[in-house]
Amino acid sequence: MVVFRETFYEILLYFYNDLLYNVNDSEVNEMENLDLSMVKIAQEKAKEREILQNLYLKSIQNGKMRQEVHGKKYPGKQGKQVKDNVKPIIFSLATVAVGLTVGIGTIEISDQVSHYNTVLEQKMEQELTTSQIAAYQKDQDMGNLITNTIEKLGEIDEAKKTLDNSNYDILGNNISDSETEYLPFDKDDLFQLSEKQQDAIDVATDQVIEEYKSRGR
Amino acid sequence: MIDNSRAVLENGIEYDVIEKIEWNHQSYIYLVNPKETEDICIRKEIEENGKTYLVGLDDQEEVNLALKLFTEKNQAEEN
Repeated sequence: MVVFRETFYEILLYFYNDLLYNVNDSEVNEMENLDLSMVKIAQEKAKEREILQNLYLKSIQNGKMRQEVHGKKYPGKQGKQVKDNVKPIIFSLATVAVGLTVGIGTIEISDQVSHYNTVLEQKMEQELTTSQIAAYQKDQDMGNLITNTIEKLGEIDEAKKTLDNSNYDILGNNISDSETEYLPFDKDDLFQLSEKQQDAIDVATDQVIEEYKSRGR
Repeated sequence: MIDNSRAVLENGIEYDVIEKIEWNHQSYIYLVNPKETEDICIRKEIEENGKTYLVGLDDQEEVNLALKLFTEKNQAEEN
């Protein structure tokens, strides 16, 4: 796995800006649509990172951040209305923070994709034929590292939406009667995947297996 | 009359309290500038000697945790 010196999305923006200016005329229309959407994603992510950095600056302890207040705080009517507008921003920040925390973020992304690859490889060996596995490899080779990574992260996110949230606590620990064995998660450890993320990867890789099974032997 | 649904922070700006989450004996207060909704910050509410204080979080990790707590709670409420 490539270790990024810069942030994931800055690299994405770099590659797609470079690609936008190095294609021949016959590919321009198709590439422009893809490139512009990827550039837009990268720009949105860059903005989210800026908001997140400001959040860190304003929230992390310094000598001035201790003030007495008169009574306990609670969300009021206006705060609840503001929350409805702000929720999508905070959801995005949480995603960015989990994925791109300085010094840890690329590990989070690479852990997800690395675990995805490991699980998928095991399933392919058990359930797919040689030609089906070759078909998958060919599809991967037609993409590039960044495209493949984005696709896998997208599959994991979509799979996560299919999970029953009531089976997990707020840290992603499975609190149902499931007997699934999980890889240990410790927030101080390098391996940062919660049980919920591991379940999402399990679902996502099952879908890939089903797709390539359907391509026949 | 004191309005505890708002807080004026050290920068002199008044923020709305949009959420309060209790976790692991901590109370996280989520604050948004109603005039600029990208201006967001998080504090902890603590009590010492019968007085209530808002203090900053310890590090980025704690901020990330607070973001996760907010997301999990509010996404669960949406479902």
